[in-house]
Amino acid sequence: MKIICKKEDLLLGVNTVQRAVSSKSTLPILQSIKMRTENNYLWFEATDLEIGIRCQIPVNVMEEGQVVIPAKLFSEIVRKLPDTEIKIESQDSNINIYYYSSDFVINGYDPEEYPEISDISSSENIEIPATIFKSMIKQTIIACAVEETRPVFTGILLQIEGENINLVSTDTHRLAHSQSVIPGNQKEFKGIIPSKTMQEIYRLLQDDDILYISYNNNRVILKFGSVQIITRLIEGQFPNYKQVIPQTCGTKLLINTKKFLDTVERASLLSRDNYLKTNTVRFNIENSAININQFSETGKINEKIDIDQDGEDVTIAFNAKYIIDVLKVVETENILMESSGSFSPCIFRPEDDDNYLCLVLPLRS
Amino acid sequence: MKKRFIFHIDVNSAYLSWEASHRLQRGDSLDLRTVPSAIGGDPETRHGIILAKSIPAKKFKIQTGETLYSARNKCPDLLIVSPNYNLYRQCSMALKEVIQEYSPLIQQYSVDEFFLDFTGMEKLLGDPMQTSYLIKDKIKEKLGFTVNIGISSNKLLAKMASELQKPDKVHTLFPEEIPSKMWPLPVEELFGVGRATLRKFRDRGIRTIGDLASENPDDLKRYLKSYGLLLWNYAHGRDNSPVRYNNSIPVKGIGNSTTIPFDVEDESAAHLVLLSLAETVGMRLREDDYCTSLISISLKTKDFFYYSHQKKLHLPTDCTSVIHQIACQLLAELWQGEPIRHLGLRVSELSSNNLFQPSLFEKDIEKQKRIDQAVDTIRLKYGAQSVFRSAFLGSGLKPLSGGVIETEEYPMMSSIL
Repeated sequence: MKIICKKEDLLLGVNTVQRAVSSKSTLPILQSIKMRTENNYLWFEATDLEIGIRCQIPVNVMEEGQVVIPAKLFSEIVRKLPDTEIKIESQDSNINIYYYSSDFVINGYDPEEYPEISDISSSENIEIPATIFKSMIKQTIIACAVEETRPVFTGILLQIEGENINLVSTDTHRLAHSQSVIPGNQKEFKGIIPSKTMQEIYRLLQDDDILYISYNNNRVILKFGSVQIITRLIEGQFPNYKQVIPQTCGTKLLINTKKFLDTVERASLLSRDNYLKTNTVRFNIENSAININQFSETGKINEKIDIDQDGEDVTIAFNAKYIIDVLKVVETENILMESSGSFSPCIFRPEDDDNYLCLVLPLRS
Repeated sequence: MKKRFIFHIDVNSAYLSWEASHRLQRGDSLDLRTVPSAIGGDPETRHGIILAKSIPAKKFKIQTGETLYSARNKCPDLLIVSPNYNLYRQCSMALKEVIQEYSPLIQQYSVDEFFLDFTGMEKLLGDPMQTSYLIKDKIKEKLGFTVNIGISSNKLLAKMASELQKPDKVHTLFPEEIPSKMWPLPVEELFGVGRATLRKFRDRGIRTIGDLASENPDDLKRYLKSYGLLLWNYAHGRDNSPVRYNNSIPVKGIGNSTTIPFDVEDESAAHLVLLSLAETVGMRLREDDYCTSLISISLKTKDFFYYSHQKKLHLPTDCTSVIHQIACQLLAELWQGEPIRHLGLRVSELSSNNLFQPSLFEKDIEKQKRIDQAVDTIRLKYGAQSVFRSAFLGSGLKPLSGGVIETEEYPMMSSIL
């Protein structure tokens, strides 16, 4: 392989695929990036066997070929290269990087040993505008489970039925549901996509991109711009989320999002390291106000915010993190909180927007 | 600082003395303490070791912890009596009652050992030495068994003092007496020196407590880490731990284990044993108002190989059935099918149970919680055996297991003085 390219293009390629490089694999070759030429384009590829990312950049190809190069070292070199024309040439598994009159040689791996990120041969494509999908990911990724004891909860359910698209995530203590419309779509899809993949899509997706999704029964390929992400789907049955969402409520509150967030964040400062090992926050809702009175060994805090209250008074306690997470992704000025008592699931949704909701289970005594 | 007076009160051959005085009170003519005798477990249920021995039995070099078989070889006429834990508990409580009259600050260190902080009490009760003789004689007269009392200015030295010469003695071991009374003793007599440490000391030519005291602490730290430094301080009689009123040490974990009367080879019996342990562990957990986030099991095979395995929970729990279910999962992952001799169950990473985070899509545990609560109430009121799971019927296994005495209020083993 012999190519000439610009430093910034190299850096773009490396940055795009780097998150897919396996961080703790026993196979050293998975800690590397594969580069191969194809019609004056250079393809970057990386995979940890769960997620694979590919991207292409235009280069001047003088000799076709492919190399596999240790990811960490290569990305650091690329970052430190001068802003000039770079020539990369491979000899056996050695990779020479030339710039000005200097050069850097890295020992690579045999490209034949690098696992193939296989394509999905499907003509079925679902097209989704990037802006819609990005905001849906942002709103739902907060509720994914971190522990890997129950794999279905570590991903986001993507459900497409005709023009309707749904993303749902839950860690069993809370549930986030975002829905939208893809005009003109008639295809169907249902699968659980790992949250890591969703994070990468969110990171790499540009607002003016169009996302193309194709799939077979256990994998999905997402294409946008010059990037392709191939991911395994999480096996298992996502629980019936609709049945846990209450349809009625006893108390409806309209709260200023920013004030609410600041208040909860301040109150949670005092509840760290208590016995429960979670940040608890308790709301006393009465007379159109939320009162928070927290104390710990280190001090106490009394907060009061005025709200619009419709319905009964209620006292309810939550893991503060769950509340903070949802308040951070709601972009409207006011947030709607719907409660049916101290022990029932509580729903948060943006004002005047029925497309998103986050359900949080209160703490029980 | 004012001079502290700490007493360590230690029953002489506790189990045996208690059994002997119990028999005398019932009208037996023989005092077990005067003949070679021992308290020993039941070899049938494989608890067949010597638990305590009389002073005449000591002359035959019979040691606590050795098998009944080897003890009988040493002394064919050895009189072996089965243990009676309920009696021991009664004696222990009676002893506590007597001791309580002499200080508000006492610590039950084990079933037969107490610490008593006498500091300041001399104004009320007079000279510590005289009082100690008074306590000793009162116990002998009122309860019928003898104790050793060690007196010093800290708990370590008091404990060392009570070990000096037995039975029925009072010893002092104040700091100025250390070189004459403690340093000539073999190093294994020092509190905290066990088999493993002893081997390391022997390798380095440390034979007496005095040898240890004259070592360079930096050297000790190099091969025994901070524990070396602790032992070196002990060898100099330095210890400043307070006499803790019971349960003032925060609980870090709760565990029970049991040696099974027969080798368990089938899964269902192993599950039953785990259930019997889960019952007691769960009950203790709930009694202390905790939930657990980490469950571990341990098993010893018939060849005395020891394994353990643990699992972190995503939801803290205090439910007997949840604990049991996870213990069974752990067993499935750990057990290769070898005959099991001993099983243990332990819960740790405790958190408060006053708030808990419910889950969607999971079975409602409310009902289970209410069952646990009801069973706990019945057992506390009518005794541990008053209600048990029918799964144990005809199984030959105890429905509750673990712990020598079901409701002991002091740690059976503790490393901090």
